[in-house]
Amino acid sequence: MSNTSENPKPSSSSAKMTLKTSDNELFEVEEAVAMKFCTVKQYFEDEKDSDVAARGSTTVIPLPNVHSAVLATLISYGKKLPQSNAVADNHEEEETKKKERKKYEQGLLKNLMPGELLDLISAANYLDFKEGLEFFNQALADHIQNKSVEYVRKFFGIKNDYEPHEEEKYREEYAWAFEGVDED
Amino acid sequence: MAEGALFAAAHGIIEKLAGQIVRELDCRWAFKDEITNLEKSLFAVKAALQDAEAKQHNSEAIKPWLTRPKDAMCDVDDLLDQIFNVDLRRQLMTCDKICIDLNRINLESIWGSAGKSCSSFMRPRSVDFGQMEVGMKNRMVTLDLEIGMIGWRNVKVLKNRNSEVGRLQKLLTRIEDLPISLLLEILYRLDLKSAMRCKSVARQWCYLISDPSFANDFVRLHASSVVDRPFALLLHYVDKQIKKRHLLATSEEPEFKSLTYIPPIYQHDNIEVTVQASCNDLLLCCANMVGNDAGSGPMSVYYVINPISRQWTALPPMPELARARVGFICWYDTALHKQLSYRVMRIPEFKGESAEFSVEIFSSDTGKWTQSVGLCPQGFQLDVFAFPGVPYNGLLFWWSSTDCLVGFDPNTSKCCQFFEKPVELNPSHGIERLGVCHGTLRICQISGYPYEVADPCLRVWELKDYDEGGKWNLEHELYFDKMVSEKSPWLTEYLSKKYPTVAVLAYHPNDREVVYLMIKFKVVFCNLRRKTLEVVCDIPTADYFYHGCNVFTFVLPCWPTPIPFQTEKAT
Repeated sequence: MSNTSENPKPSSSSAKMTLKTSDNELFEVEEAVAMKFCTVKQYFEDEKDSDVAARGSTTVIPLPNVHSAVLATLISYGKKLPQSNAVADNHEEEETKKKERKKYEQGLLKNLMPGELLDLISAANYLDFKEGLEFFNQALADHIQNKSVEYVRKFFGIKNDYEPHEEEKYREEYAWAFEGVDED
Repeated sequence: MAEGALFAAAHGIIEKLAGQIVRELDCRWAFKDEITNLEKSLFAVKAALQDAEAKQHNSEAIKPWLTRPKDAMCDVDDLLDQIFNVDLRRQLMTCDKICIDLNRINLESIWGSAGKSCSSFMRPRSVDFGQMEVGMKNRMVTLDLEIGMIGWRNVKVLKNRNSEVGRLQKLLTRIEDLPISLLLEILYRLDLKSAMRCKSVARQWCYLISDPSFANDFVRLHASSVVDRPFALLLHYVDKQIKKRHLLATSEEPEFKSLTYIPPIYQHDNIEVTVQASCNDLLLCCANMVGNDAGSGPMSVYYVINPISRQWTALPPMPELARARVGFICWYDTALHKQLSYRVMRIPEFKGESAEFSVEIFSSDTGKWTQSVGLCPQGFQLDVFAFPGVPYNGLLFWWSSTDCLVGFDPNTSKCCQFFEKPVELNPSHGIERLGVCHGTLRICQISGYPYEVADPCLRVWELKDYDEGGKWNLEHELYFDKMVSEKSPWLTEYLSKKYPTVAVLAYHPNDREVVYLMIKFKVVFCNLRRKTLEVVCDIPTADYFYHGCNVFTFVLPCWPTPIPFQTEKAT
């Protein structure tokens, strides 16, 4: 009668990982979602190669470059993505899921301050979260799409290093590009 | 001697690095080994530099470090591997916030010519030490060094711009929150208008956006979105009062407002500029001196212009020829980063049918005009109207008055394609217009009035089986009295009369059901399948309008085609 406490082999849908942010908050995330952060995935895989047994089944992965608020948004976005290990849905289910995702995305963007987008992009880049990066890059591009040059400068914190006459010349030459720009 | 300075400086860096690490980590014993490794590896960096600098010497000390003796600097990557191996990474990671801030080191003065050979030194490993900027002689590389959970990262290498390097060094530090590669990813997702506008945000942005590689990546991203490219019709007409030619663009989109742009050098009262031909988003224009100051005979200067980007280049002057037929074809292969290549073919007018005729060809590859002989054994006769050649499949096509379609190779002026007329074509009068729609050649004919007693009818043929001898397919057959205009009932009425004056201006580049007509000095949009009409705009004075041979199609691509040379030739 051996007391074998089995460490259950984590199935890909229920295993959890803990991520620790720069402000020391802990996030418990499903493995499937966390694997979308390629940085985490690589860390996890590096871990597996070395002494897993010694470390036990719970690992806390530190993310010193990511703030909790940002990670929360990224995780929530990651959850809404189609899971790679999910059973293939039929066409109808896929469509409804797509619509749901669209609605979620719109809601998400509405509640975000534009400045937060930069943080999200930076974090998604650090985490190597491809889908998130693509989404937030596009969101930011859409945001600055029709904005004036001054707005873009302020937004990115860029100093205008043009002489006024150079800028004037540019505006004349490409007058068509400056038409129909949103008011600041 | 330079080496001495190099090593002194490299040594300095090593000291600095080692020192910093030790200081911050409080000499935690666990790291001692790693730090030794670090030092070792950095010395290896130094060694590699030495090798790169003095390639003639086969330094024995270096050989163990070099697995690929050919490219010394490639191995610096391997060395960095050793520095930032997994264990070190993880251990460093478990500390709370490693605050090592490597101030930006400019290694330009250190690496000097060695820096030149660092072309492969582009793949940083990640170390959370902050950011290290490396300025090399000809290139500027930002190494993003973050703690090693991230693998290789693509670092954008900005090309050599001598005056800009210094400035860039300063600017890169400003948008430090966002690495350049990310900023570019955002800029690629803008539309053309916004991207062009962003050039005026700051010099660095202008530099980034003006780089040819930007256009390539921009196009690649946008090409995947399935959207019909916007296009406009350019019309040339003469204002009778002031006897000046004008250009009219039929589209109201802001991009097309610059279609009528003429380079300042040609904006004189005694210079007459006409558009001769168009291909994609480039125009071929001709500037003629007006007046009596022609000493050696009046000369024409043709120039190729991209009116959106306002880049243009002039061709060498040629003798002025009235009613010469001109054809313009260009290629720009973004995938292979080739430069723009184009040909201009000019056929001086000749009467009657001929199998051989004189031709002038300009090639952008040679930059010269050459005299050549146009060959068409089946016989070629110029159309009454001076239509420009239609560029298609690498050839320039003209409709011959002998009722056949001829395609000339713009390099050799030999006839490479020859197609007989459609069966249903009325032989008594020629075709209205030759053009390209949705990737196929089209011709159309208006028959009936006043040539014969029949109801006026517009027929459109499309050339199928281009590679197998060619076969004309009658796509549309539309009787005028069946056409209806909802918004302009006078049109409907006019067309049901006996002799309506209608000319076909152009085909829609993509929509196979649409043609543009000229009816009573108005440009009219016609849907051939639905038989509907809609007025697009007025033509102010349609006096000088040879059935619209001065109509040009302009399609706006994802990104304006760049014209490499900028020459301003005095007229």
